[in-house]
Amino acid sequence: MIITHARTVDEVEFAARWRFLLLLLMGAMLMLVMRAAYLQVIDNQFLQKQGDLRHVGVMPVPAHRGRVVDRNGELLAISSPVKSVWGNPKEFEASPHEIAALANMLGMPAGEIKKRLIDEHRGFSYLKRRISPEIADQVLALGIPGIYADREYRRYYPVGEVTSHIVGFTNIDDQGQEGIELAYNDMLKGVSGARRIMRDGKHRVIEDVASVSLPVPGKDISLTIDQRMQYLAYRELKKAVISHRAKSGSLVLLDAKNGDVLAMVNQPSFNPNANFSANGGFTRNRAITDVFEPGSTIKPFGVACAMELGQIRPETVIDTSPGQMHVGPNMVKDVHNYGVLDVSRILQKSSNVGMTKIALNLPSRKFWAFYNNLGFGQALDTGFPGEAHGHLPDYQSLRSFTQATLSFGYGLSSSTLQLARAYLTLANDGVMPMVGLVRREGDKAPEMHRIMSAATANSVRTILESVVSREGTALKASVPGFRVAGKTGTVKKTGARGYEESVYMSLFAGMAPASDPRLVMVVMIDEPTAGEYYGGAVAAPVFSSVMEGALRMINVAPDQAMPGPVVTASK
Amino acid sequence: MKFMVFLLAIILASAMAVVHAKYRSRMLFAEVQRIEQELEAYEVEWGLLQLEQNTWAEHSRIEGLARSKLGMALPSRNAITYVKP
Repeated sequence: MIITHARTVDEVEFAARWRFLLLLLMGAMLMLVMRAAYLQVIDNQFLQKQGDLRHVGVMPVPAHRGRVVDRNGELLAISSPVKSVWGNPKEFEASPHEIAALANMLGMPAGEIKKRLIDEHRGFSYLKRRISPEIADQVLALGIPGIYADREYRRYYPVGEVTSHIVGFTNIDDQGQEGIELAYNDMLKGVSGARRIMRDGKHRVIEDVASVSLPVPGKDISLTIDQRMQYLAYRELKKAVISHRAKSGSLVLLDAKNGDVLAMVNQPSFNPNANFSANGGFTRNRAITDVFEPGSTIKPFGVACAMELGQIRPETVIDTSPGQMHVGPNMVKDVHNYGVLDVSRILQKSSNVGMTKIALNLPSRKFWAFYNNLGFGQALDTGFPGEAHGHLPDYQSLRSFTQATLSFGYGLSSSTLQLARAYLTLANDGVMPMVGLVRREGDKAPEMHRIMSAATANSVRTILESVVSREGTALKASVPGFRVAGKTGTVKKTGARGYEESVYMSLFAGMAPASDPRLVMVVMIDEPTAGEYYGGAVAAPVFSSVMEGALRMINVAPDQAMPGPVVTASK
Repeated sequence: MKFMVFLLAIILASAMAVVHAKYRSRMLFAEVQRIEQELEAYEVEWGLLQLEQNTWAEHSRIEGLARSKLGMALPSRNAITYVKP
């Protein structure tokens, strides 16, 4: 039409223009064809990639976090799948009625949903994380565009605050933050997998194309803890901390034969399932992370060192009168003037003067090495985060007064677990096993170190048995039917102006049955303020009740003369 | 010419085979996905059952029930008869 029209108007004048235009159009056409051919045939990867970018994607598949179980396989931490509901504000379209239904299901105000999905300009906004899969499915069933749910895992701690200090906890992204969860995060967490998916124009997943890599679930961690003993220890310690109105408390129960930690509890505790504040020290595993001066509980080791070096025997007599003595410019005091005591009575009465006289006769280098070998100031190597080393002064700075204070437990510091580890040597005939929180593979025997001779360990143990008696300081630590060996400690705490007048720490360290110890326990109660503060009155009763239950749980036969009838089984 | 037709036929057959194989693989993958989801559902259930069992078997609960409902008590030392092997 246009052509005829053009010709009729002026054929000659526009012929050249017309041909030029035609040529131009042909040229443009040719270029388009060539470009299309180029894209399709020669450089075909480019478009393929761009297309894939728009509708093929890779989605991560979260891996299942391993469980934490106790030595008998009881659950301490388990991950359970939950769903996290999120929305894409760009796609979100819902009537006020639908928003109300959504708000109702998720248990959050409708205004909050509007704020997150309508006023938001990003392409992603969490509505609610970690809700039960059923609720998430109901939400998806509403069919509101722009609402999605992803699978995640939530960590549950079935025993809650009883084991929370050991197991620790994870954050909202399932990464360990404290305790075993942190120390063994790499083993527990596994490796997330990936799968390739196809999306439609609205970015909805329409098809799973292939699995890129399968998720590798995390490994289970088996602890040495015995949950029954753990619960018993938790209950008794909590009771004692409350009734003595103490600031805090720790209890460690070890297997005397192999150093396994059977129970380790602290007060105050926290519930890892609930929202808790990480401030205020509730989450700290004090038995491992906090150090204190062990006071009188260290005296058996001073005696053991002197015996080991052949300086004294249990019946060696030492004059402690007048109940105080000068060491250089300093003064060492006893509570009473005990007069002449033999070595076992020194421990029974817990005489500082007696200990000082014993310690000052010892070569300082050997004395220091003995404490060092017992693990004071040395790492425990449990792998637990925040583990304290404690402090033992350098032997070069060991003056006679320092040596004296070391013999009765001042001037060095130790954690509850370190003190318990040192007591393992007395319980285990002079050999100290490595302490551990996680079960060794194949339950093979732990590393053992000989610290003192079996004879020394035995005689110190015999002396410690006399401490748990009417004559000693720890009658309340006795367990009916069993011979118990142990030592009390009542430690003055240091404040801003040196040792405080009336702020104490009550300690008891002991083992049972004394004839062949199976369990070693240390109880530490910090700042009891209800009147009583002696280790024998505050910490020893906790030891007694926990030890009684624990011995029953592992079926140890009583080693004390039995008042009841005894039947000999005949086959 | 005959050879060309032959090649064409083969190439067509191969193309169909590729399409079929791809189709089969997607079907199988979908099947795997379905079974994996089933497995996951069982894992969820297993986890919940473990949790439930733990809750029921909690030491404090057992102790409370034994003491209150069943009237059980720890035997005193005098009430125990020791049997020596």
